Amino acid sequence: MPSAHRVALVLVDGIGDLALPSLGFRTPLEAARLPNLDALAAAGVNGLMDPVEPGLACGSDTAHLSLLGYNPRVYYRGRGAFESMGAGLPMAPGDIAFKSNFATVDEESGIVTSRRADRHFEALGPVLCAALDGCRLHAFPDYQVNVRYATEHRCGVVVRGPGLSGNISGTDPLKDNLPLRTVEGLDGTPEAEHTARVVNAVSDAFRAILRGHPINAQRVAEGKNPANVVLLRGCGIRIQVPSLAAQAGVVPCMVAPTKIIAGLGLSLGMDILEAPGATGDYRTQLTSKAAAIAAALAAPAAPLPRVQVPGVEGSQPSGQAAGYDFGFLHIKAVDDAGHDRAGGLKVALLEAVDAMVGQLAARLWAAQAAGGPRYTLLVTGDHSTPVDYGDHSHEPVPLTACALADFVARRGEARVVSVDMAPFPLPRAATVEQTTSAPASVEQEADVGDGPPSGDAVRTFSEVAAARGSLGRFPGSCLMTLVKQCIGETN
Amino acid sequence: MAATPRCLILFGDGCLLNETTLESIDCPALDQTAREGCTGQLALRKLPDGVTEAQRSLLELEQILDLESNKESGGSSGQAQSREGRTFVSLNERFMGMSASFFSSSQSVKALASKAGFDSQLLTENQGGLDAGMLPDAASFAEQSLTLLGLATASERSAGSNVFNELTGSERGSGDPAKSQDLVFVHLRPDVSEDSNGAQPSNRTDDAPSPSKSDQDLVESAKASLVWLDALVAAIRKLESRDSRIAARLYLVLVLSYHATAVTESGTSRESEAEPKSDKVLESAGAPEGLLAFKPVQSYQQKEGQELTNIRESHHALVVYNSHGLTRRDAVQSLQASEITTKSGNLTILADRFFHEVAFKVGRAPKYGA
Repeated sequence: MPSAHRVALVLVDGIGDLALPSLGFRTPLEAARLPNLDALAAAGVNGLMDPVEPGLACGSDTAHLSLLGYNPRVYYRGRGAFESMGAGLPMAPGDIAFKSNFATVDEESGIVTSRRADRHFEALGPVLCAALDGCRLHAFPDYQVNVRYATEHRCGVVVRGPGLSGNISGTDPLKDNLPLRTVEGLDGTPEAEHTARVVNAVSDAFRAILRGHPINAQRVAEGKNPANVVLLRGCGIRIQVPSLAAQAGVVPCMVAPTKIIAGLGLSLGMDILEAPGATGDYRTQLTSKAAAIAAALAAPAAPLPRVQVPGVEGSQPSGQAAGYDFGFLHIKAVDDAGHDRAGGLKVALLEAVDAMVGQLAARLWAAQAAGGPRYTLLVTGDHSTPVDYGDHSHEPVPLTACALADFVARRGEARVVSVDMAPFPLPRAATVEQTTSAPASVEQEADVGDGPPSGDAVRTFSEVAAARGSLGRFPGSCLMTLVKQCIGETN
Repeated sequence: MAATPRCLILFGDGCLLNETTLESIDCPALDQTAREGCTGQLALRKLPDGVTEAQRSLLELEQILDLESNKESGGSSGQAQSREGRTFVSLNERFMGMSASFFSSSQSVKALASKAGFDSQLLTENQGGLDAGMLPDAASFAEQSLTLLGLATASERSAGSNVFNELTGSERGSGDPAKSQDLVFVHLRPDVSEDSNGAQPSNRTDDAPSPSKSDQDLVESAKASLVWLDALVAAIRKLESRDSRIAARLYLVLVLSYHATAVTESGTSRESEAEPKSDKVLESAGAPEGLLAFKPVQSYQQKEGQELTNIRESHHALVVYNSHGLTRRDAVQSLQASEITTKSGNLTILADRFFHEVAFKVGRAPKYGA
């Protein structure tokens, strides 16, 4: 049963940054106007978080594992399985998965002449995937192979059977006009060597099926490249871990259109909520994400969002009739702006996140004021993605945790309930001017609200301000302990 | 970022004789470095009873370079190697082919740096103590350091500097970017009196134990060291003002640690003071009980996920990270211990993690995960 105290965690991918010369040596968080996030910081407790450990520039996968309480040094086995599950392929613990392309190989020389048989494969791809799905491996009868069409020339491949390892190479030569590769074990273990033999058998079996398929005969007759090979790369094994519910004693759900994050959540047994219009990129619909998490945390008073189930077409009804007590809302676009080295856009996107947090708070406050659960809001990130660097870095990220009631007291209930709940598009790079305004102004702080102070001494939400918080600088492995403290589960 | 940064680490080892050492010395260039950078602290292990300054220096440098985790397994007999006989995995292997130079005022530290995989040299021939006259000319040294990093070309005057003779005779000092170093580490210890009972390598033959310095001598040596570091940074800034490419790539890091006497004389009492956090958290009607009371384990109290029990809670080394667009900027306005402990933007990390940060900045450490 979910608790009467519930937590919404907003995870802003790539939130942290550095002092940008283009922003007057402020970070994008310091330069942005963030009345809601500042009010959360002012009314709550704050700190700096190392996703795994100081000095490690984490990927989103290792960082998320750590934040959700799973030591990546123990459990991380590559991204392949996370991506495949996020794309809808069902996997059991111990299964391995690949990112895969339909490609063209010269049958005589073994040279891959085109790594993409055809970019427009939407009609034929599913037919060929159906032909490959469930193919038999005569030398390895204990192994099962499943194939699912993804997009364009891409498909997902999952292999299930005993003793598989994720530490193997792939068959993809990564460039055209190079030989198809033979899979090899990468760590010298018997498991990896055995897995390499199984996967080479998979590759051969696929080629045998595709070679004789009528679609390819027709393509050759039409002068087109045959799709006579499936290139296998990015192997990953589904990690075998206790579910987040079992490990942390919470009833968790997630909104994450980003495949690798959704797949990671599925690996931990989290329900992935449907949020119409949420895309995991610059086109995403943040309002929809807030609505889905708010509904899941307000249930049963609010109708539950539907959930995604790998291997099942379309969304399904949630099995958690009483709702959830831990809602994880992932936002990707801010990280994209860091990778795209777009400082002004990152500022504008953070302001959009702030607006979404206002909408989320309003929805949850409506539920709490109507006698529903008591809520706590957490906002943080999984790593820094400095725009002047263009990739992830090791700098810690800010974290704020605030009881919703304290946020409302600080911000003013009238402001909270009157927030515009209409969906809004994310700002676009072309329309965002580089922000070079003066340092954080008095009026910026004033519209945070004038309610009584609570929490620690921090008054704004940023990397530098968070250092003055009562939480100090702590490892991401502590995050779920904080969540459980808020929910009231301390076991 | 157009090009990979290059790092210059300036380590004033044992320069802090107490918490107010920096207040009595005028160091405008170091103040500016702190004001325009991001500051923090490096947490170090508790010192063994009776430790000498020379032993403290080696123990703490091993932490700052994270050497303890990178001891090579050795000894065919299976017996534990003596402290002096240990070998380490080289920097080159640990950090994706990193190449780095190390200059030290201490013979034993120089030897340790060599074992760690640095190209190492003595900063000064004198082993009895430091004053301004014994240290290299700061302007020449600045120019040569940047030359080693491939960020400048040494002038005729600085190329003749004694301390660089060995390296300038090799490819490293040629100014050719393809042969330049990723990192230059300058280690300056005011109290260079070595202790023959303790922490020196067994093959050391060229510097006999020196008598302990008097308190006043030590104060003067510490002051001379800090003034020299200030002059060095001022010279670097001058070179930067002539060539914007230097500022665009130079990652300057200053580390200042406490002398053994400062740690051992007040360590116990200060730890009991430092234990309870002073952060005031206001009560609220709305917060869950566990939220306001939550005190997570701190990052500096762990290594690779394992909690450490031997970290001292006071006398952390002070650290300043400074680079144009490569660091955050905190509220610290001058290089004072009291400012850094209350206003730093980086707070405290375990000293063992410091070099990993630097390695990542110079492109010699990979991303962890996808």
